[in-house]
Amino acid sequence: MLQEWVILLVSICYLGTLFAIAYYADKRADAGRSIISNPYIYTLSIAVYCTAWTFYGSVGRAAGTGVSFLPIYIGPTLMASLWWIILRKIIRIAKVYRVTSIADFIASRYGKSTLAGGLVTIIAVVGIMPYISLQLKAISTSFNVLHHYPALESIKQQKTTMWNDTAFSVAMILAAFSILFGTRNIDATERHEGMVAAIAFESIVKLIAFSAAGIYVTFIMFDGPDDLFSWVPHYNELSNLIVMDALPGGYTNWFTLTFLSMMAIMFLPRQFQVLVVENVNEDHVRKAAWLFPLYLLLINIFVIPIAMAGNMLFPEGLIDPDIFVLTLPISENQEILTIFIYLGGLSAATGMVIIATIALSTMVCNDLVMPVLLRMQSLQRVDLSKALLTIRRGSIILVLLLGYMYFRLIGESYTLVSMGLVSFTAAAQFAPPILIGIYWKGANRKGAICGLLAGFIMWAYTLVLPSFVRSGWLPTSFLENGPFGLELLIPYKLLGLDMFDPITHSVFWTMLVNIGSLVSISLLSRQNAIERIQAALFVDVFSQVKDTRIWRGTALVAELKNLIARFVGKKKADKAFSDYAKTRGIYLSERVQADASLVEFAERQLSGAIGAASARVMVSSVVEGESVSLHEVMQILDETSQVIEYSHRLEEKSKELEAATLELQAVNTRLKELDRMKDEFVSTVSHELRTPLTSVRAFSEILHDNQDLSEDERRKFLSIILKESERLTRLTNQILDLAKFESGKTQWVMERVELSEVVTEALDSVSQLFLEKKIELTQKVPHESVFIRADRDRIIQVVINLISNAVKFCEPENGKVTVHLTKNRTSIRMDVTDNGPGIPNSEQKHIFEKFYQLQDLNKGKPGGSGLGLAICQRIIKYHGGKIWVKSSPGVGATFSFTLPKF
Amino acid sequence: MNKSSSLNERLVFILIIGILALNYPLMAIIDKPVFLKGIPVLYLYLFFIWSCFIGLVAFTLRKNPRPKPLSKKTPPPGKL
Repeated sequence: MLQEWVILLVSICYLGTLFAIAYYADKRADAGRSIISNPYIYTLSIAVYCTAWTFYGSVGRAAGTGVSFLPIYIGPTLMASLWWIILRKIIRIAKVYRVTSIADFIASRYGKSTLAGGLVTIIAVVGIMPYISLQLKAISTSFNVLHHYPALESIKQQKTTMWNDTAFSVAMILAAFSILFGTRNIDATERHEGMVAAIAFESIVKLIAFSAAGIYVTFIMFDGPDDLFSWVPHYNELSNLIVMDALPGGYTNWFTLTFLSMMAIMFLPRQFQVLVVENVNEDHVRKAAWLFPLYLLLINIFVIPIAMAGNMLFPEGLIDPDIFVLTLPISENQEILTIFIYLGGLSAATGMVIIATIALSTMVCNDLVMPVLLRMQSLQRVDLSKALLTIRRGSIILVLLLGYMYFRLIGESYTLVSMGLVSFTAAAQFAPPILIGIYWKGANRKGAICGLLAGFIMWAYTLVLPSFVRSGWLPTSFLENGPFGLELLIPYKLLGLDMFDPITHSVFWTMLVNIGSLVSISLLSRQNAIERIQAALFVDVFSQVKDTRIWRGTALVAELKNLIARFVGKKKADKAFSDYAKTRGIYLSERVQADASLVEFAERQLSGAIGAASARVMVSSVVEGESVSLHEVMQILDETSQVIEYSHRLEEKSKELEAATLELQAVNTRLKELDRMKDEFVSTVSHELRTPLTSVRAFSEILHDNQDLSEDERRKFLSIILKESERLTRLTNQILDLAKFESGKTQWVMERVELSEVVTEALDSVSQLFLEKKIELTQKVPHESVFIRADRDRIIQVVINLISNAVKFCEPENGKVTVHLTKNRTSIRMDVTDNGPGIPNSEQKHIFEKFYQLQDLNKGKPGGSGLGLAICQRIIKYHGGKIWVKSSPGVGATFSFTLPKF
Repeated sequence: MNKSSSLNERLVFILIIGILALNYPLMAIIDKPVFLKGIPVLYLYLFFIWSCFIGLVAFTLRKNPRPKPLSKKTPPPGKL
């Protein structure tokens, strides 16, 4: 027999350890070295989801109905896959607007509405009662089990009054503990680092404790899972449990529970608290989205083995399946293990109670009591920071007392899980206003309030009222024949809908009226300005230009500071303001008018302490001229969008400018290049002209000065002069030609030309050259006529130029020149091949440039002007053709051009 | 923007797979009093799908998904 004081001592020591952890974490947080700022602690804190329901209730559920306990954990697993999308958005919104609770979130979204916040709070408090009472029931039952250790039979017969009732003591101890944890001081921040650290620790304890029980049962009491399951066929009632048959409500119920738990994991007030409010860094969601489901998986592995073992070992009806986890080790006289498992159950329950009461007390204080207090004139100038704490502590006690009451009134007749599901359905009412609210700007305050109210009333009617009937507080005829004998109003079969189990039935009706009212009323009614602003801020939180001009600053800085000080204390207010001044790099004089952003800052500070709706009321009491009127707000919104529009346009303009600048730069470089080319051209031309001119002049001088030259010499000199002047004329002609081409002033006489005829004509005019140098000419010209559209004289010029070039570079006597004319479908090609020295590769690409002459030929400088090929290229280009050269040095060169066919 | 929206699509896809695999009618296929290695198949199925789902989410949300070097992906010669 375990002495009562032993159990008490262990429990108190455990709670003391928790408190030490919380204290240490708070100290570390104050020193700026948070121990909770990592995804693992975050995940463990989310595991507060696993309460006494999981620890004791799952086994009870599994013992009766097989796998039906699982959707409660599969739902959150499924939901977690969307956390990266949905939860991250909610966290971002909560961080930016300093949301303190789920009530605050909904109130903020719907125009900082006090009514919405209050309604959410009431639903949360009432809805959570069954859940809290579940924990109280679990703790007190486990305490009693331990107390009667190792006798198992006597547990059931208990007569309790309020004052010797374990549940009541447990409630009061937990209340004291939550007060110590969550409301030691009031802070401008809404986060509780110490509490989160303690919860994370509790999550580890409960996981290890439950696994220990599971391992003990599966591997020590039995020889592993296969041994355990091999006994199943021997028990008739157990064979049912390994299939879905045992599931009450079948697959519909399975689906409903999955859906419910998907909503519950995010919108139970305590889950919202740890997921959103206590979140340190939104990137932690990335890991938590799979680590948390993993935690759920681990804590559920041994549920079925324990349930099976309990069913086999205890005679039916002797032991409440909800406490199999404890009674199995007890039946084997495992004292230490039993106490450890008891501690695991205790951590599961206390974790939930602590977070839930703290979350709820914040809501009650900020969204229920504060709005009332702030309207009382007598309280307008009082320091409220003490009052805030008192209110929160009071509401913690209140919440626990309500939970206790529910337990006393109803708890005895329900299993743990069915009590929890009632709370889940209540929490699911918050899903529509939040999920729809963060994605649809049109959802408005009236719609949200009506939806919540309708869902809440429907919940109370279809789930809570029947539980009063079942506990004997209302006549059973209520359930059988309906109120006043109206069958259509039977709570479990509303309007005759009798195909569902009670939970599915309730979920269906509550969601129908909730979503239905929210959407239809939002569509049918109008939003006011503040609603519209908040809706836009929430929906577009990821793509926001921050606008702080909602307030018109006509308050003194000192007034604002006093206001904050009234709620968070003078020291903290001073620090907040000096921090603000420091980060902005400004000096804040107390006497100046606060600008809009400072007012906004003050409002957010206050939101952290008393919630958005109340903060707004308070700030507007100080800031003269109130907030901006509807008309002005719309103007601001317009202005903002105009400013965005302007900046958008500016951006575009600057992009255009950039492009234009680039273009200009390119043109400029080109111009410079052209200028350089022109200079080069002029100097080359002058040089080229000077050479023949010099020799003409030199020989003329010789003739002029030396009368006594022989006739032969005279003739020789004159012929040189003649030749040089011819060259001069040719050069000048070519330069003029080129200049005309380049300036586009050439007169082109385009006509239908027969190309082979042109080639023949050109060859005729240079035939003398072939004869002189004894060079062999081969012609390959097609027999049929080939027509092009061209300037006949120019084309002849090109052909002559190419042929004479070829001749020029061939060795006399054994030179060979081939003229080859081919045609294909679209163009005509002419190749002029010689067997001269060829053109080095490096020079091939320059050969068509003006004045470019091949330099290192053994003949020295050739007689050309260096313009011939340049002119050819321009002529061919003008005709839409191409000209190029192919050559291997030492073998010869082939000049080719193509021209489009006529 | 593009990258994050494709991540979102992948997550929604995974969710749909999860919902389908863990509901009627797919679950009804496995809903039989049969044992596999001594353990009821329904339990095995649920916990197996559950683990796969967790793995998928973890894989999708892993940090800085780096493309593996191509050479490692090509199968060793002779094993085609």
